[in-house]
Amino acid sequence: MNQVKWPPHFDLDRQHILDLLTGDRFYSDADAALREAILNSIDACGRRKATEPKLLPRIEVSFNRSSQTVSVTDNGDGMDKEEISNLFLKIGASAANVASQAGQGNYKAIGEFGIGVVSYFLVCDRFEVHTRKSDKEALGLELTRSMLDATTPAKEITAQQDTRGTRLILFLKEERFFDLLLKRFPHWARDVNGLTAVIEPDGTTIDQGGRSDQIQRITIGETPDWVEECLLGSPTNLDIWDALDGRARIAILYRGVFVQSVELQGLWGIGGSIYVDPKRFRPKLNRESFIAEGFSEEVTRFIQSVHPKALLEAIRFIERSMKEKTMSEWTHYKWATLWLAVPRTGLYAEVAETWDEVFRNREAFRLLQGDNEKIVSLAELQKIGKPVLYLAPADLRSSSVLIRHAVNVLRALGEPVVQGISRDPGGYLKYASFALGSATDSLLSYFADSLPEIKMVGSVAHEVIRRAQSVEELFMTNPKVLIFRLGDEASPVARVEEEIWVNADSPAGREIVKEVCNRNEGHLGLLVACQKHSPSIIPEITPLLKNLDNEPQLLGPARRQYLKIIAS
Amino acid sequence: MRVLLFAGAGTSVELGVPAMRPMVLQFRTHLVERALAPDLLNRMDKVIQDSDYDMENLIEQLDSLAGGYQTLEDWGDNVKGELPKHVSVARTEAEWFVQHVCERITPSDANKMWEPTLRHIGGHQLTIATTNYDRAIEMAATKLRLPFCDGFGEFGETEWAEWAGFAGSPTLRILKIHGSTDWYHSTDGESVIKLRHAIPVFGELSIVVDGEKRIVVRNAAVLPSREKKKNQLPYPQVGYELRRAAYEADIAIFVGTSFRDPDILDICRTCTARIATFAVSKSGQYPGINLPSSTRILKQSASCFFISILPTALTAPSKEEFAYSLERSTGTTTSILEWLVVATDSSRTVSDRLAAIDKLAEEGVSIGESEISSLLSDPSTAVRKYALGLVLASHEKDSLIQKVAELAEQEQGSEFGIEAETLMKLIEILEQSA
Repeated sequence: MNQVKWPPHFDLDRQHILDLLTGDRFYSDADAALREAILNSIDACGRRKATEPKLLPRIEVSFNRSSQTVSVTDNGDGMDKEEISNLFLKIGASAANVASQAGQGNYKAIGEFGIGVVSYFLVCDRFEVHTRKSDKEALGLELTRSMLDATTPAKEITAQQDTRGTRLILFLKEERFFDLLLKRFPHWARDVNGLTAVIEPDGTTIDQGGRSDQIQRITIGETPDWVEECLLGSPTNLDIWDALDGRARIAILYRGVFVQSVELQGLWGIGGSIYVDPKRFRPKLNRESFIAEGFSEEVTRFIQSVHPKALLEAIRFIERSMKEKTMSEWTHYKWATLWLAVPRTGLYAEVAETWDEVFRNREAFRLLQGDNEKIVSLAELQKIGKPVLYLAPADLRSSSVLIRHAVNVLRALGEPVVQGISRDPGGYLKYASFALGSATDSLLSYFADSLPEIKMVGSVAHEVIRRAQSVEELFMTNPKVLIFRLGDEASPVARVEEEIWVNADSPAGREIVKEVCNRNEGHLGLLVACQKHSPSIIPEITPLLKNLDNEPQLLGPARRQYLKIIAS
Repeated sequence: MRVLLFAGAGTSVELGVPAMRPMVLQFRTHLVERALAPDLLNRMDKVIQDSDYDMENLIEQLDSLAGGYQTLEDWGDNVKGELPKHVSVARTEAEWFVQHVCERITPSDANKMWEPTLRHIGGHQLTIATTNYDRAIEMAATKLRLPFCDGFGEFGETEWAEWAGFAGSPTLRILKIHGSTDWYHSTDGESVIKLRHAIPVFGELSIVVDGEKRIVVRNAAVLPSREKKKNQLPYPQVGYELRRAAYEADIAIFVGTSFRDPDILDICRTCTARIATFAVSKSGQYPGINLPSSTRILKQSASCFFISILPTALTAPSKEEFAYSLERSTGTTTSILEWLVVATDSSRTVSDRLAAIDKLAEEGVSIGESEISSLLSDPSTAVRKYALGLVLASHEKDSLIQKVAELAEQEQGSEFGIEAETLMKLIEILEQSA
């Protein structure tokens, strides 16, 4: 039997190690002390329950403002002198381990959580441990910061624990720590079995943070062995849907205590919490996270595997909300963005199909036809009654002149031109991976069978423009200058291959025709007219006008009169 | 319908015959060449300036001087020096000079000015009265082979014609109120003849008629201030015919006259009291002249009126519509004769001709079918194209359009053919919008 050191003291090689452990670089927040205290109680209850399966764990957290104390009392296993002594030894060993790794910034996991005890000094200079282990005597110890010198022992005090279990009393060094721990209690204590919390002396209860009960839980079959329990699903909170940014945030809990939040980019519409089995995954020394590389990949894989189910549930929620009109304030951009972000391959095939069915009546396309422009749904496109649908880029302003003119020609001809609505420019789902760039991508990829023949404007621009009938020729010698009617929003002049088109529907285009006729100086007159009325086209048409004949093509009076009438 | 048309000096100005004022400056230059006495020239200069550059006044002054010298001689007093001789020469020069400038008018220009009107006389009876000496009207009528009566008989095989008077009711009567450059009085004043080829006479001219008979003639034109000549044959008859025409006319038009001649003003008043009467001038103003208020004033150039406006009006079926056509006419005050001359002159550069055609088209001048057809047959394609722009304004556009349609068909695809097709399309559009 080993010799028990009593009263115990921290046994460390180097004093500064403890400083390291209690410094602010080890624990991110001072309130981690509360987490550690609760975890220690959970561990203790767990150990007792291992031998007494019928045990109902009980952990009471009491915040006493008048005494500026926080006490955590459990009906766990309790500790005897030997165990307490071993605990102190472990702290020292673990600290040594930590120290040896400190330079590399790599903290290895430990087998036990006892190291958490030193975190109490983050919020207090003194704390008491009262414990009773089964039929053993009750023990009371006062531990002070001075013990961190590695020589000062703990002080025995009158034990206050009458029943089996442990009571920890933290004598907070400042009131701000009291407020901090009180505020952060729900953050750490999410769903701890048997835990209650009160504020003394009035006895006000404090609720735990709770599990993610604002989700529609999905049924998950087999889970990885590191998952003790999981509560995952799609959000049922409209505020969450309104603010989706494309990242899933899953809370990692250890026995109901929040340990870590895992943020998974590209997965959305899923939330909840996972209870991790520490036997499979060991937390870091400070228990604020788990081993990054291995664990995060496992978690990601697990969430990815259940994500399709979550999205299936999600669409049902959305469908209900649409019927109840609780989501009706959304812009078509948001609807379209949501739809575009639905994954479509592999496990998501059924998901995509279900979402498509619901979204086919949502407006996600811009239909340009004639002078009209309206936002339509897929269902409306399917009923359009035209033999061909022309797909144009979502942003025509950044498209080539050829495409823009082809669109204008098509519109002038009464053909339907469809622009897909792209992602919400406001950043909705900005971190999501998008299966489709714009709604029109879906038409080509997934709905082509239910639509008229689809043609990309870009691929048929030349043909479309050829189809456009010029109203009249302004100049018949090269370069040809033709008068077209392309709508009053089309540009007044355009270079189309080796021709120059003047748009008589545009006021500037009409002025150009008039000026050309009045000047009657051939192509040079055109250049002057464009300089006056549409200077932006000059760089495009100048190359065509470089090799003009010496003799300008003069227009007779009859032709000039005719052209001016045509263009008016 | 009987139309009385008075053509004043303004009508000949556009043909190149200077008005009295510019004429006196040209005459002065001519006298310098003649090397007349410097003293006379200086005195003439003073007269010219004092009379505000008026040839009429100069001639009057010279006549007075010459008359005075003659009177002194008759009274037995001779004026010493060369001055009387020089004055006499100056007087003769003046007579000659006036004839000379009047004969500068080319047949081509005369035709362009008068042909459109004369070609459209149709069934009307037109009496053209003029105080101008030039033969522009006669030249145009002759070219058109339009018979006219100016009071002289036919030339026959001779070079002269004798006075025959005005008989019958010819389609065209020309009343040269102040004579003509081709009219000559015998020196005894008993007869007046017209020569086939006018000769500006310096003083007197001896001509042989009938192979042997020789007569001496002077030009019969009534120069300004020589009113008493009007008592000589044939002027009383001419004057009578004018009055008769004024009383018989259905419409009276006075073109290019200032109405300073009291006879003409009186005729105008007579007409206005009875019929629709029009006064046509560039300025539209007659300072110092008390025209009747119901005289309708048209502000147009003579050439525009004769070439474009009057021909169109002459196609009207009634005098009311004729008058209406004139009233609503919107002619230009610019001389269009020059444009027409340039447009039809193949010796000019194409660009000049095109510019001239453009101006005619811009002004909407009504050009006759003859001229336009001539342009449509021009060797220059550009001229032909441009000529199409004159079709719609022409008073003979119906036949011209038909012609253009045929040309468009024949020359389909050619540069002209395309322009012709354009004109047809334009016509269609204008008809639809009407």
